[in-house]
Amino acid sequence: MKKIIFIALVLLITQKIYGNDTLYYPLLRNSIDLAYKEYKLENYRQLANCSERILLVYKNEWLPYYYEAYAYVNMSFIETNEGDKAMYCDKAQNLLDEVLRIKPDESELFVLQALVCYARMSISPMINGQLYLPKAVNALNDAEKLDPDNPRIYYLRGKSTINTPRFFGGGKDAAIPILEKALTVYKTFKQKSTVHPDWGKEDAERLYKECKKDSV
Amino acid sequence: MVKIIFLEILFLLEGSSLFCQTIIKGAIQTNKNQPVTGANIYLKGTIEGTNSDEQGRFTLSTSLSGDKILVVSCIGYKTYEEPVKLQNNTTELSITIFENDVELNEVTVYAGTFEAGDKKKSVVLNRLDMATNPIGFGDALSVIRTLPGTSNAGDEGGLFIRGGEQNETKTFVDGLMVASPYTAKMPSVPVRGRFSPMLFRGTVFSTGGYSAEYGQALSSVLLLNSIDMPEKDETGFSLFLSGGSINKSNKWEKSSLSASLQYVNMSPSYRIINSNIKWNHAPGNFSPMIAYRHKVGKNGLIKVTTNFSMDKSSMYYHNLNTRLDDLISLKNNDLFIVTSYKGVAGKDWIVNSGVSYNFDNEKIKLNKDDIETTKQSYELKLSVSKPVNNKINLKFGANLFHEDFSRNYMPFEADQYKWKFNNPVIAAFAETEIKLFKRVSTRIGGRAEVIPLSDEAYLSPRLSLAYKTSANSQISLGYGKFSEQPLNEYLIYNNRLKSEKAEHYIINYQLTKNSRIFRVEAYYKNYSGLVKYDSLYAIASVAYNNGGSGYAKGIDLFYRDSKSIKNGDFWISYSLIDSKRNYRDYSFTHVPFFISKHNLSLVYKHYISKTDSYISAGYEYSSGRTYINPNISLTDLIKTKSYNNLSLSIFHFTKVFGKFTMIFAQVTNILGNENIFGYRYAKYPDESGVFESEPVIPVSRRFYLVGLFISFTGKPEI
Repeated sequence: MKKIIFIALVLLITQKIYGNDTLYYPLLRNSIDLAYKEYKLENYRQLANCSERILLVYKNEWLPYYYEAYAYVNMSFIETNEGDKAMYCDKAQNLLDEVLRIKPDESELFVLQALVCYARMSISPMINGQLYLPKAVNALNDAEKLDPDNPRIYYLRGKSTINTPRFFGGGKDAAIPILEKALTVYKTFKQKSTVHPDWGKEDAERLYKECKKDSV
Repeated sequence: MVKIIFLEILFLLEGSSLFCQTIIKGAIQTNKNQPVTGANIYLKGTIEGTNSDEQGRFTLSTSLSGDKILVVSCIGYKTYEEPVKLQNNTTELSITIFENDVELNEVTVYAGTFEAGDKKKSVVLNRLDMATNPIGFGDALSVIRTLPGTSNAGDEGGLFIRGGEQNETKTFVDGLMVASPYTAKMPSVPVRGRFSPMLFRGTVFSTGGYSAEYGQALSSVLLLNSIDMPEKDETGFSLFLSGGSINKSNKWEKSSLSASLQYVNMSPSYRIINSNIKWNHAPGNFSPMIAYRHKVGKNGLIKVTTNFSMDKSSMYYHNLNTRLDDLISLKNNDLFIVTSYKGVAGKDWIVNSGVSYNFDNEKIKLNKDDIETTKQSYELKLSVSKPVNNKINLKFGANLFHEDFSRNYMPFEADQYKWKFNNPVIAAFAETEIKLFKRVSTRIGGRAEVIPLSDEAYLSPRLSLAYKTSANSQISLGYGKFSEQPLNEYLIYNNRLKSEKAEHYIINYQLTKNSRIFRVEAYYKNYSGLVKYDSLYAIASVAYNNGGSGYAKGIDLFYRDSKSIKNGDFWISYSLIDSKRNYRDYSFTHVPFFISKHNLSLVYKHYISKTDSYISAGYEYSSGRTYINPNISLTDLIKTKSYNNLSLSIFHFTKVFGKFTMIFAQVTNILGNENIFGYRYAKYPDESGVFESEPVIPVSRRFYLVGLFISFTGKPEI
């Protein structure tokens, strides 16, 4: 008994020191849930702050980086001031650049990269559209290469297709098969842990219904 | 026992005693007394923290104890740190944080530079702008003409920058000079750029004061950076009123290959459109292009681009002296190969090197006489740059440009004339960028050139200074000395002619905010050593000398707004110029014939989402140009009427057989203005003592183009 407890203790101590465990999961999960409650700036700001605090301690974990960047991208979408929008995108991009050094083969990070490109496009579609759309497309392709079972690839691709003018191969009709694929993959998708990315399903369903409605 | 250990574990988990609680309360405000919302407040090295509310207030309760550092971080502000003692009590803090320093962007825009392409900051024009440009019909690089500082020389074509001649602007592809950037010149027909802007990922257009890396241009440089790798495989073709093209590109893991072929024949167009020129054979052009890219190592990339173009045309041109039509025929073949390598050597040496080769043969038949001109040139270039520290960046390099020039004049029934020379230019440059202070950055450099042909060696200093006045605005200053060898057409008669010189002084202010760019630039340029000659037909070497001089000064304004109008985007350029010269065969100092005092251009683009179309309209205005009417006086300058051109283009996107299709239509000079660039006069008066004259007018008053582009592989890359 004593031995077991001793081992548990040692494990705990080492985990505490090296910070490569899942101790922060509940904390992060709480923050994510809070962000999901309502799509507003302060909710995502607290997620950004919480993730930042975690990543400063757990420097080798990719998830805190991911969530901080994810929070800033969403803040960029919510924010209306153009300068701030761009600043949040810059911040998200810097975090992404850093975390890609730690984990260069994570499909979710490339999905997030695409999201940053979309955020930049939304700032000034006339100028940034032509510049970031190909980058977003490439990022999603890279994400698909790394993990074709990541449903967010198809969800974002579908969403972007809806917003793309028909001449560029976009439109609601074109988006339907992509969103169908997204929904199929979402069905079989298993979240790897409580804090691994799991967003997009509801929106994908909503978009799919919208497209279907308009195509009839 | 177990219970105690369990408690111990809890103790470890929390890192502190369960029974103590320290509370830190406070308010955060900016140095301007504004509350900071959403700041991140935490204890350094732990994950314990909180956020500030809308009043900037926060409460951080912790079970930790001892000496810690409280950190306040908020995006856009400097991080604040304060040591705190946690001892089971409540502390109140009032914290003031400061905004981040205005940072000079990595790419600092110096005076005189316009960038276009995909660099994040300071982009003025993008590739779509180039593709849908309504002005300067059909000429690839004409979008540049919608920027300030350019003169509208519609009879000559090419770029006339700030009182400079066409040859004073040099074009560089991937850092290497293009010896013949424009198509060969026929009388009254403007030349056109040889390259499609779609080949390039970025364009830097300098209206003066450019970097020491480049030389042999008195006024300006146009830097074209070719696309590294295509984004994806592509196959497509286009058909238009007077020709067609096909293009294909394939991309592999480490390399890519693109090829395109274009054929143009203007005959069908000129059957529909009235041309002011009596064509014998309307212009025809055939141009294949091949581009190969190969990744080397981790960061290296080799780019090879081969561009070939073959032009043919033939016209009857009214000779005012003989009062007969001359038959002038042109055949021009041009091959340009450019290979470049960029990569990283050692830890942080960035290497840019390249080799280029150009062969250009131009055969002109004037009635029964033949003139054949052949230019052959190559260039070797190496440049390296290295960040010395985070404040200083160093760049230096050298290049050798070597040109063989020969011209044969073969009259029908007389002895032939032959001119020939070869002409190497050896150059080295060094330049350093220094961040002097937080808001001030400077670029200091120099270029040394040696020209054996004219026994010259000189040093050209270049200097720029940028001062960031706020996050969105800056003031820049530029100064530089520039040299350029006289035109080959003069060197063949007198190859001892020295280089022509110019000096630039520039001051610039730029404000960029919310998808709006405003810039204003004032400049002064003085010229010396310009080539003067007795008459256009002089062939004796003594007839040519370096005695010419001149100046140009003016103000350029640019405003672009992609924000104010939904789905709309427009830019306005205005240039005011005052310039005088005494060069070439001018008999006194006066305003050069190609100068218009006021130049205005306005481009508006609108996207109509309902029909998937882009409509763009361009309007150009230039005040009258000067000319001399020998029937009145040889010393009086007369002005033509002003030049007006309203052009429209429509791009409609649709699907044909399930393939992405772009249908386009363009019309120039919708208002039908009768534009006159100037007048030409007979050399001698006729029997009644009058010099015969003819106005110099556009090739056709109005021009139309319709066509379509079909892509087999998805959306067109624009």
